[in-house]
Amino acid sequence: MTSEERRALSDLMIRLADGDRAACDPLFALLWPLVFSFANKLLAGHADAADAAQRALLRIYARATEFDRDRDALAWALGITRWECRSVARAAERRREEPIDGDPRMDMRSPESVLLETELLSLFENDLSQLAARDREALGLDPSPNPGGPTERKRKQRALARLRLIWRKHDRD
Amino acid sequence: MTEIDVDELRTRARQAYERGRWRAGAISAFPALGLVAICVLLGGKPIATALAGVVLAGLIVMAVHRGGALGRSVAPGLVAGALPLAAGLVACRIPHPCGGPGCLELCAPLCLAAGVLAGVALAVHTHRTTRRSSLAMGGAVALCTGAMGCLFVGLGGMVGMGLGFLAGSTVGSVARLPNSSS
Repeated sequence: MTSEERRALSDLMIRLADGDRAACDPLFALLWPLVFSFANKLLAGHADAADAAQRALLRIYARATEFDRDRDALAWALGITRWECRSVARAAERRREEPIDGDPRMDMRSPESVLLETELLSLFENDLSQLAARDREALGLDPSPNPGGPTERKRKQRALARLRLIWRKHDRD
Repeated sequence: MTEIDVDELRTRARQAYERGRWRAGAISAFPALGLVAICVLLGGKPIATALAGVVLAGLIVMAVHRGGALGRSVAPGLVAGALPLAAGLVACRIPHPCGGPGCLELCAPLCLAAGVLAGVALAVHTHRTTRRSSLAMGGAVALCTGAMGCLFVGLGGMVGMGLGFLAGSTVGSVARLPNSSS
């Protein structure tokens, strides 16, 4: 940006701050490409860069009355853009921290509950290993040589009863 | 990346600008509410004072939102109006044989003198600006501000301030004519 353009930008911003509505469109034409490219640079590759640039531009216009005529308009506008980009980046970061339902990577349980569950699973696996081979076959844990026999339901019931008995030993311990 | 409708964005920017100006106007009107509170606390007529305060606040919001010369005339108007405001507030507190709302001993003449001074000061200040609307808005702001004080005195104070202001601003405007024509 040349120094003439920069001065023109400041002049337009001063006019807008003073209430001259005719400065709105020329200022927009000068300011929008700058704000847009600056936001894209700050949030390189970020999906919300365009959104941040738009929000920054609206903020600049909303706060135009606060513009101090002794300040450089470009620095002032880019300061607001930087702030908006930071807000957008922070919001995106917060979104990432929120758990997604059903995603095991987003497990937000406490370390105690994770440890307890691991212990229970280990005990259960140990109990399963104590079952006889035919009980394991009846529960479908091991492949059965003759699946779907007439006594399958009864065998499964007996295997579950035995597993329950083994599991109840932990309660007594 | 999402496609940006630049025309829509321009419209939204304009709307944001207008909202910002209304907000600035509302913030600028807060001193008017402060003045109303002070005048009521000092024992002024609450309803009449509040009415003058509301009119003053409305004028300030409108002028600041419009901006330009109108917006710039608010501060001088408030400063000029502070003279009759102060005069009205102290007039009845100075020990003298006060004859009520039409007191010609001290109250009304004090408001008249303050009005003249306010008119001259405002006319001289708007010397640099060529727009009559700025003087009119500044005058309206000054009269509303002063009215809150002169309401203490009553009708005599109000009329005195109004006539004084008219005379003062006329004198001030006539006095600047040779300069503005050169």
